[in-house]
Amino acid sequence: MPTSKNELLQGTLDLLILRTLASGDMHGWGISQRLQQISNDVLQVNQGSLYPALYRLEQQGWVASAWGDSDNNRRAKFYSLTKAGRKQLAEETASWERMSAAVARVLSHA
Amino acid sequence: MPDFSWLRRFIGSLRTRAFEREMSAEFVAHLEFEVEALVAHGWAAADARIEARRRFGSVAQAKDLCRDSWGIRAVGAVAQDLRHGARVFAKNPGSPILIVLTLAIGIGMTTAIFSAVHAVLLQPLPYMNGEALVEIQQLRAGTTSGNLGLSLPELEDYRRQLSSLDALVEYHQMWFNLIEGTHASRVMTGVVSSAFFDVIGIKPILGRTFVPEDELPGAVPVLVVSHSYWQRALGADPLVVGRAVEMNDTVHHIVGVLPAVPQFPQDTEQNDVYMPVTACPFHARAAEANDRRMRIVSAIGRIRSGRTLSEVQQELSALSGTLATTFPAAYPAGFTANALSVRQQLATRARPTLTTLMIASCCVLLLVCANVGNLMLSRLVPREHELKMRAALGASSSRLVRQLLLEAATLALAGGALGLALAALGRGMLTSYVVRLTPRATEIAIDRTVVFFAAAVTVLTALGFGLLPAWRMTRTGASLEKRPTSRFLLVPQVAISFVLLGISLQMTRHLITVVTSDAGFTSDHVLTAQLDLDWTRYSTDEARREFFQDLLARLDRTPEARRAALSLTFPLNDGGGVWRTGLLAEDETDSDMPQVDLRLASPGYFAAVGMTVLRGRSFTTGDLSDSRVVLVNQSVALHRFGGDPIGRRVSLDAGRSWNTIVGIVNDVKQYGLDSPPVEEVYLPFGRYAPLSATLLVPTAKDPGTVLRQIEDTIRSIDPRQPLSRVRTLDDVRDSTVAPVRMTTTLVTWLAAIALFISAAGVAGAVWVSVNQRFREIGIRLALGESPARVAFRVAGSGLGAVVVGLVVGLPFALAANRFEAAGAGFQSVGPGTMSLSVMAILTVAGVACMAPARRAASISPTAALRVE
Repeated sequence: MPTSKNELLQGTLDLLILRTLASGDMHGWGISQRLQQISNDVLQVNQGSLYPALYRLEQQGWVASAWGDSDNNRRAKFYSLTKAGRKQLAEETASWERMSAAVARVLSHA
Repeated sequence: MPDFSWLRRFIGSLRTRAFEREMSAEFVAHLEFEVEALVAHGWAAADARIEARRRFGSVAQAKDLCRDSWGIRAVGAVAQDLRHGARVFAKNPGSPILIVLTLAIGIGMTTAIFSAVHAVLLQPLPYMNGEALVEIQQLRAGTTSGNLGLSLPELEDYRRQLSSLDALVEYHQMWFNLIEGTHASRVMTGVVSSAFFDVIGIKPILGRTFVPEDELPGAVPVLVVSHSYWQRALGADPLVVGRAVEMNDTVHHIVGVLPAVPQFPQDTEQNDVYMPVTACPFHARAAEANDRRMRIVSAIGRIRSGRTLSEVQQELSALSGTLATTFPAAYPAGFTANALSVRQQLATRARPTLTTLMIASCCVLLLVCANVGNLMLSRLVPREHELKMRAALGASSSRLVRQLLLEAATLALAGGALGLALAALGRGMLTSYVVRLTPRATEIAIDRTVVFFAAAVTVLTALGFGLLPAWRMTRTGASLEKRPTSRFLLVPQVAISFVLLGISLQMTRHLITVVTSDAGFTSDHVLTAQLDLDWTRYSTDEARREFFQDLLARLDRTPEARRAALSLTFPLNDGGGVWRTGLLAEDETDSDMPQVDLRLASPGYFAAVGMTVLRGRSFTTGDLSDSRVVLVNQSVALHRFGGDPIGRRVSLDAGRSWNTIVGIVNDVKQYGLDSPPVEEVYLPFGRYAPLSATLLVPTAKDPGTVLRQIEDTIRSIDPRQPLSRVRTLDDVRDSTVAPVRMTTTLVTWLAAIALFISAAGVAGAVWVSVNQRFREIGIRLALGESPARVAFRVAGSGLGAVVVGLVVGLPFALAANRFEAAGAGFQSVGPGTMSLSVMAILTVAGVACMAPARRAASISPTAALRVE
């Protein structure tokens, strides 16, 4: 169970990144844009914390990176989900769903 | 699944440059994307760039965080810390050098002492059965003669009846003349049972040791040689086994070479060769072999496994008690037999000295830690501002602590390495000092254990003095400026230095007195050598007399050796036996016959050693075997005869025969340069025909050529007669002084070390005080006080503590001097030497204060006032 605010946010960010990459490889800026789009601008990811999270995920072996060309032929580093990453995503998603269901129950019944 | 992220981090951390390049490129790309998107939304290009940067946030911080994730930070941070540390050192090199030197001295000294303690007290004996070895000693209460030894029948009884020992072997030492080819030399021989080496547990490096067959009557005579003899006299020949030599008119074959282990039992001289007991002439003489009272051998036993030393002692006491009642004539009153552990024996004499030294050096090490801690803190005070700033800018306190610990570790490592080197360099001196206490000193070495100890000590001292400033840094509340200086530490340091310096000066004075003292003879260019005649070939008085007369006559014909002389011994000779007897003057009424030393002298003796005949005449060639003349020395003349004894008669055999005194010679210091002369009576050489004599030859030329001629002359008389112990009188005189010189050197070194550490302590304390009172000094300077006065004030504060230390130390120093004077016979120091001590300490302390004082005087007032 995460104990500090930072840890909670870190874990959540990791989960979001993994989920975003599950639907396709993309580079850092792309991930931040996608998060912003899908969450209807609610989630404004601090771009400064995005890359440390990506690097951490890569160190732990859940994403892999490779240099490639973007749509407009700009060189960028693309991230992709590894097999271990997929497994981690599944676990974290399940865990998140369990937790949010529990929170919802408490809020409606307490 | 196992988590290899740490491995990835490590490998990732190694590819730093590539990482940095890629990371920068990635961020650049990100910003470009952002700018494009903004421009597409209608932003102006320049504004878009600014907005993109703003939205990203701090690039530097992001990079740092990324580096942290990647694991690069750890390695890079250490490198960065080291570089920073190096810059700090370079700006102020004096202080770290002082720290490293102080550490080196403390660690080096402790390591050196530990190497001795380890080799002598802790390490097991280098013999396989070392722990189980005992020596059986027999003592008689009321005499100071020490171990009486065992007789052969006793040994046999013990061997058969002590069930707690599974072996008992004998040992005694004799010298023989060994002839190899044409070369004759004198060798110390250990005469041992055939099982001796097996019992002790020594395996030969070449050949074999003795086997029971060697002990059977009629066995082929064999020898085992010691390692040092093999190297020295046999040229370390690997094919030496089987070589034949002649000893005692018998051919012996060398069957083995021993390894280089310390020799036990301890004797005055180390054994060159070993032979089995059957070859020993004593055993052959039945009368002596069966006499229970002839105690001529030592016994070494091995405890049976499962039994203890106290069991051996019990059995031994019981058995010797039984023997005493059975053979009362052989066992005088107060007789005891003891079983002593060999290992303890070899350590007893050394243990108190080594333990004291170890404790002393641990105290020194503690002082070193305290001093260095002080110095580290003093270096920290001017950097306090910088460090606080770094903390404010985001350097974590753990990072700062890490950096300080790293600095401390580097200094400690340098100090420890230097200390180990010092210990290795000093090993020779330490060994020659400790060898006087135990033969195990030769085992002192810088081996794995010692290095490990040095490393452990280094780590402990690093923690000791490194944690202190680091701990202060984490206590952000307390400012370093308010810290009280540990000046109270200075007082005991200075006091100890004072005491040691006083003792050292006292000993040095004594040494000088001894070395320059007039011993009553001159030792310039006199060659001495010992002649030990083979007693099987020179068994009659006549034969011996003839040899010596012949020798003197032939040497007389050799130009370089013309003034050769013979005597039993010579002044300051160690290892010569002494003849004593009671002197009876002719008309003395009381029958008390006080002892005098007897000396033999050929006519040329007194001239050879530079003694003077004060009155009367010396011996002439006419005074030979049957003349009854003697010479006495001045002590006898004064004490016995009140002045002029010439013509008086004395007896040396309680009145049976009488001799006339024909001359007086001056006194000599026979027993040491710091011992008073004794009463001596000289007889002409031919009166007694000794088996061993000393040849003295004054030479004008190089002693080497003269020696060859002497050897040739001897060979022309008897080619199988060796010359041994060839030394010049100067060498002998020097070697008498050697023990005193060595102890004096050791104490002086200790005093110098204590002084150095005190100086470092004073320097450190004054530095801290200068840095603490930075502002105050700046204000004084701004208000017009002269820099010289400031410097004096600063130096004075340091010297103040020194003076207190001197005052505290004075009674101890005086007490120590008096103690040394009473116990060791040194003269007690006068006020002159004391003031010399005090001046020395004040000067050193003054020099130590110079650097901080100069710094204080050169403080710019504006800089001081600006620091807030």
